[in-house]
Amino acid sequence: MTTSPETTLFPVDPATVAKNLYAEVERLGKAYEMGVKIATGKQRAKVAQTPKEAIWTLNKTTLYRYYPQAPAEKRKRVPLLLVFALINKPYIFDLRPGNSFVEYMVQQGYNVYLIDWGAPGPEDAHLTFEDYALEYLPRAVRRMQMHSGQHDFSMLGWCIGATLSAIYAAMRPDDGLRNLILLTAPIDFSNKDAMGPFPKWLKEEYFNLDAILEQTGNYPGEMIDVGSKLLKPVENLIGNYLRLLDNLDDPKIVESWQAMNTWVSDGVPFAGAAYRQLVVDLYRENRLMNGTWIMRGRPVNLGDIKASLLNIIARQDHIVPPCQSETILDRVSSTDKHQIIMPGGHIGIMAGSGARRGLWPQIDAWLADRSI
Amino acid sequence: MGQKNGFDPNDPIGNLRKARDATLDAWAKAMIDLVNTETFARWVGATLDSYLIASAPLQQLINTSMKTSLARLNLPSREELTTLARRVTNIEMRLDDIEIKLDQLAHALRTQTPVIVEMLTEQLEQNRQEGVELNGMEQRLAALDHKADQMLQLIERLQQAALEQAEAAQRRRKAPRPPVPPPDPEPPTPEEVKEDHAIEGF
Repeated sequence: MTTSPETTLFPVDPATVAKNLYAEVERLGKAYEMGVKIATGKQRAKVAQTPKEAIWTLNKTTLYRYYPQAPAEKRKRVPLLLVFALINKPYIFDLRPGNSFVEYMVQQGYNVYLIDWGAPGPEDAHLTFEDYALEYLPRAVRRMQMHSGQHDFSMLGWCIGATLSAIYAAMRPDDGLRNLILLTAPIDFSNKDAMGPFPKWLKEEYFNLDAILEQTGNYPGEMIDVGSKLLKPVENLIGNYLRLLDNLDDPKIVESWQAMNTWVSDGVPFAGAAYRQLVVDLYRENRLMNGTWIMRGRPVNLGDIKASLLNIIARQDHIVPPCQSETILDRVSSTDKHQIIMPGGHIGIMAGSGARRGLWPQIDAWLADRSI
Repeated sequence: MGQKNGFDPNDPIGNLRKARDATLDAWAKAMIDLVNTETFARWVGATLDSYLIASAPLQQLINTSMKTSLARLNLPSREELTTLARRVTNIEMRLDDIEIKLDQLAHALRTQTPVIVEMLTEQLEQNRQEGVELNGMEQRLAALDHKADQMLQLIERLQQAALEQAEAAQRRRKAPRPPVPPPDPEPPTPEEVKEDHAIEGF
């Protein structure tokens, strides 16, 4: 029996239906094959592939330098130091070949260094923001200056790495920091209504910080992971896996998904004392923005930042919403300051497939003239 | 192909997928709103508290038994290792300070070497020029030295003459003198005379 498409409300063509069903079966066959490879560990994401060398270590912290790839005449004089957050690992900067910010910048002729904070152990539970920003970071900078033979340098901090970079820039403005790039920087914690669920979850009456840290020492990476995923529970806990299931027949998408999933699941503990500061001093009391955060006996004054500043904000950032980053521009003393608001999320603007044509060229364009 | 609102009657699987995605989107939005409420925040806090309350005794038990076992096996405890690790980190920091100072020193030497070489070359050149002047001074010093020798010889001769005169005077002092007569004995006292008489009978 045939049905005329013109005369029915929902015209059904059995041949097309059969064709579509066959295509789906064929897709499922390929998907099954890939699913088995993933389940048995034969299909693994290759992350952090850009060649590098470790040039300095201290406790768990390592400073890497990426081998230059650009011809000598294209190389920039001023080295670039990348500082990632204390959450997860910094290879998000170098996620996978073809989708790596590090690889891109090295190819543009930058002398790229990366600081990896490592995974704190029980012996590091006392480490604070002060330790990271004013003890470890200056030492890494010193080593980089010695290694590169340059006093001036640029620093790009992402997420809490941007907070650490801002502290460093404010407390040590004469160390040679020439260009400061803050990427989705959690600085201002005043607008709690616009900051999403975190300020509510971390309220003193609900979140028993002392009891948790007393038992765990450091704040466990798994708890951070669960907390981040709960911001968008359906998307993170169901949607992501369905997206993989729908695209299991496409090796390129599978590779990309796996790389990101590897990174997301590769959490590290947050040093206990620093986590306490994040919750109390920043989320609850907004001390950095208020100028009441005391380090080394004096308040951290964002007005002491003099370096050229590029502030990058992700418009759809649900982890660090724009209101947390945009106000710093009015506080710093830098005369050369710019702000970019990019469409995308907290990680996507920098590690998504569109970053190569979106944000990275903008960072390069801003930094190139300032790295001569 | 008649399609309304993305519905394609010829693609049943695609339709199912679209229906699934639409449902998930609705759930996603609802859940995002839900997690952003005080009620959810309270629930998260309460869940964490219950976890901590439930796990605390077990953790304490594990810690105590582990500590005892390690002590019996003569192995360091977690606290001891933590303290040790912190001390190692402190030492590492001191070493880092020393290392960077050595590097700075080496760097300074590398960069300053040409300057130092230049300074030394200048100094040598200056010394060479000063060497000519020193030769002139040496001649004057030699003349002075000769005069000093002459004066010394003169002084020695004077000393010799003085010595000879002194010896002559000495010889004169050593010639034999006339003997001096011994003084007259004093007369005995009456007591001495009386005593002499007393013993004359023996």
